[in-house]
Amino acid sequence: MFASSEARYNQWVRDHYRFLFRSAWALTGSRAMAEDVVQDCFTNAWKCRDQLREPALARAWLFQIMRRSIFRHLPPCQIALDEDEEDTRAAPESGIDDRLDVVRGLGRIAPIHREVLVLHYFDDMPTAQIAEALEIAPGTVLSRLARARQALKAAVTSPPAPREEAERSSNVTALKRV
Amino acid sequence: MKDRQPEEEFDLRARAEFSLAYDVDGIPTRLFRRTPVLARRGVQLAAAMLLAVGAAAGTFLAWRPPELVRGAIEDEYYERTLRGSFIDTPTLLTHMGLGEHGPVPGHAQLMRPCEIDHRLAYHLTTFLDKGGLVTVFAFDPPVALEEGSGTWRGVYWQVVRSRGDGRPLILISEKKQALVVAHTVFARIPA
Repeated sequence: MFASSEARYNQWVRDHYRFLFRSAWALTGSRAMAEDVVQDCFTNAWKCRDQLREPALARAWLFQIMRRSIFRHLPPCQIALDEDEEDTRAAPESGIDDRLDVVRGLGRIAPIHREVLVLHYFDDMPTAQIAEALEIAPGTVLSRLARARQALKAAVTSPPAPREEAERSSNVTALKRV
Repeated sequence: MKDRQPEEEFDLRARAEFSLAYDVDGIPTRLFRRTPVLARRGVQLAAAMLLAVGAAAGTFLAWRPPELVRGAIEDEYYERTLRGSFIDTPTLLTHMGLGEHGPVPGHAQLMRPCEIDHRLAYHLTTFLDKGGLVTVFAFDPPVALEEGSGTWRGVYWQVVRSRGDGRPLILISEKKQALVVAHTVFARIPA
């Protein structure tokens, strides 16, 4: 029984690590923090492995755990749950070409929009599973996704804020100062 | 994706850029769980059970009397209600190590030859005063049996050396007191 749990867990790592790591990286804006978050996520997933009733929802369930882990890792001021609030974080801090405007735009929209877009673009996750992962109603997923796409388009087309530009030019850390 | 808006060029571009930006290498091996076989709870439980079963089996085997004694107990059980004399007294007494001409100890109930584990044995059931019914077995030829005692299937047993040539005798009784009295009658008294 223990061995089969372990095999199932290892299969989760094989199947979902890439998705979770990319999502965590996009949501936190930091590769190092994403590594911590994903490790934390799998540790918690192992502890709660018996709570997953529907194997088909494993990815959504793991994302849910990871999302909570992000809440624990990020300072409270960066966990904006208000859709109107904009995050002024820059895109991933290293190795990203300047031409990747969409990536930079993702870093500028509200976290609540960012997470729904991550699930949509990174995994093409079905609405029901996104709802499970974000712990919201399926109808809310659709409306939030529509607004998130609009926000991303706006963030890509609009020029960066002067403060963000200054931060980028002076190589200031990507995370917002508390 | 009927429930969502149709994909536009922007969406395709977004997917492509995200794919480029968030590139992931291999999976860190530290994330996988490799519990050593001996550390697994199931294996530990199985080992503990095996140990317990082994200990129980060892205790049982140590407690169990020798095969000849078990055969004698079985024979005594099946012939418990049998009465009579089916062998001449001197022959029986000789094999019991009591001398050819002596009297049969106690009040004899059954005297007969029998076969235990394919060996010829002499069976004497007698009632000893201040003791009770006791059954004595002597083998011909004498067998190798260590002295010992115990209980098995509700009866007491004891292996003693005969008075004559010191051959092993098996004493069986339902009462411990009967064995004590039988020991004084049949067993060789240590020098």
